Formats: sequence, structure tokens, C-alpha cells
Amino acid sequence: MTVAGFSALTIPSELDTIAIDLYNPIENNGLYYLTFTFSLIGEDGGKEVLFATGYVPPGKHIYQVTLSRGLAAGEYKAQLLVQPYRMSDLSPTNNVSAAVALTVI
Amino acid sequence: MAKKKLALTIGLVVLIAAALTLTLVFTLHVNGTAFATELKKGSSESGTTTVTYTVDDTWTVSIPDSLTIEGTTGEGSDTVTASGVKIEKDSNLKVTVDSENNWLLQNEGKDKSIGYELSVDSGSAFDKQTGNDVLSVAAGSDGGSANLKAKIKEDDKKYSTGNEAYTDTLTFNVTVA
Repeated sequence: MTVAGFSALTIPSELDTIAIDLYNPIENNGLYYLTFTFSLIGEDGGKEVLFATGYVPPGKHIYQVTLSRGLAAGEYKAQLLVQPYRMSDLSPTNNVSAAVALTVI
Repeated sequence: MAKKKLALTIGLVVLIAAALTLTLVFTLHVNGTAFATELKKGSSESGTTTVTYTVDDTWTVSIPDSLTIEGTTGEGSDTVTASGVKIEKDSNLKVTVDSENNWLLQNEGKDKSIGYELSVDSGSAFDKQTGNDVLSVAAGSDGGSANLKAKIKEDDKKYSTGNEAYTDTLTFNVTVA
């Protein structure tokens, strides 16, 4: 199962709709949907979900997402959780969690 | 007398014409400054501009959707691969793994469990003391792979799972530092 991700992201400040490229690699064709959940990580380790997608089919991209809120300029710790689901029965599989350095300019 | 008057008149006309000419020349000179930035042959100018290049870190990892442990051998293995790694110079992409059930395979009701160990190749089993590093890829190299091995703990090999499937969920953590 293949997952494509990133470890750094730069977005504009105070906007709640941003451009991004999230996709399900074609290698997962016929096998897995992917969902993406992007969260801010607070200093206490708590998570605030900024956006969560539905099932993304293999070979498909998401180029724009709406955040739960716009962010002030600065540096943030974030997490991109990629959760695959078997297309046969929508059961979840092992997953990938990526630490992301989020820069808001 | 009339001649003097004529001379004066002619002189005045010449003076006015000269003034007009000077004014016209002055005006032309002012207009000429509007073209001061135009390069003339044989001259040169230089300036500066900023070139910006921004590429966020990207990578691809391939992980097992599940790791099957054979009932007869009590062992199983699969591969974790990182590819297309594009990260900052002198940094490393690191993959570690965590168990949802603290290295226990559980039945659907989660009231029964069997312990298992996970390791990379022939290394030590992952635990809090030894750590759980699966793979590390340096910036500039295209990628890498590691062989994950799972096996039932010796003390738990004597137990069966009945007719149930015992499972655990693994999370592969990707960091760049």
C-alpha cells in the first residue's frame, strides 16, 4: 500500500480555503481508498483538526481544502494522518502519520 | 526717425523670436529628460531582482496494509519502502512504527490477546528501551527499504486463537529532521 505525503507546508494567513495536493497513488488501484486528516498539534500534545477528507479513490487528487479556521502568520506543528480503507469492505488498515512543519505567511 | 522706429521694431521682433526659441529649446530639453532611462548605444545599466524557489518536502512510503503471522510458524514478514524522497539538504527522513494495542494481537471483542514482537530484519524487537526505528533515508538518496519481521512471543505460542482473528493496527510515523 502506497502513501504520498509531505513534511512541510506553507499556506497564506487568515484564509480558510487553501490550495494543496493530496492524492491516492495509482499503485493502490482497485485496493485502497485513502482519507486525509490534518491537525494542529498543541504544546500539550492536543490535536485540533483543521480539515478531514472523505474517501479519495486511487489516482485522484484533492487540490483545495477548507480549513476549520484561518490561521495567523507563524510556525505551527501539525500532523497529516493518512488512513487507508480496503475497497472490498471499507475496513481500515495500518496507517501513516506524518509530522508536518506548517508555515503560515 | 521713422528708420529708428523700424530698427527698434525689428530689434524687438528679433528679441521676441529669440525668447521664443529659448523657451522652445528649454521645453524640448525638459521633454528630453523623460527618456533618461532609455539606453543609448555604448552605455549599460544594472539592477537586481530576487529569485525565489520554494519546494515543500515530499516523499512516498509503501507499508503493509496488514502483517500476517502464519499459524504454523508463528512468524510473518513484509517490507517497508520509502521512495521519491525530496527533503532539505543534510536532513533525514525517518520512519518509526507504533502499535495501537501495545504489541498485543487482540480478538474482535478485545477481551483476549496474544503478545507479539516486531523487529527490523534480525534486529531487536521494538520496545520503549530499544526504540522502534524502521527506516532512515538521507537527503539526496532516492529512498530505501527495510524488512519487518513479526513473531508471536515464546510464552504465547502455546495458545490458539480459536476461530477468531487476532489483530493489531500499526501506525508508521514519518518525520524529517
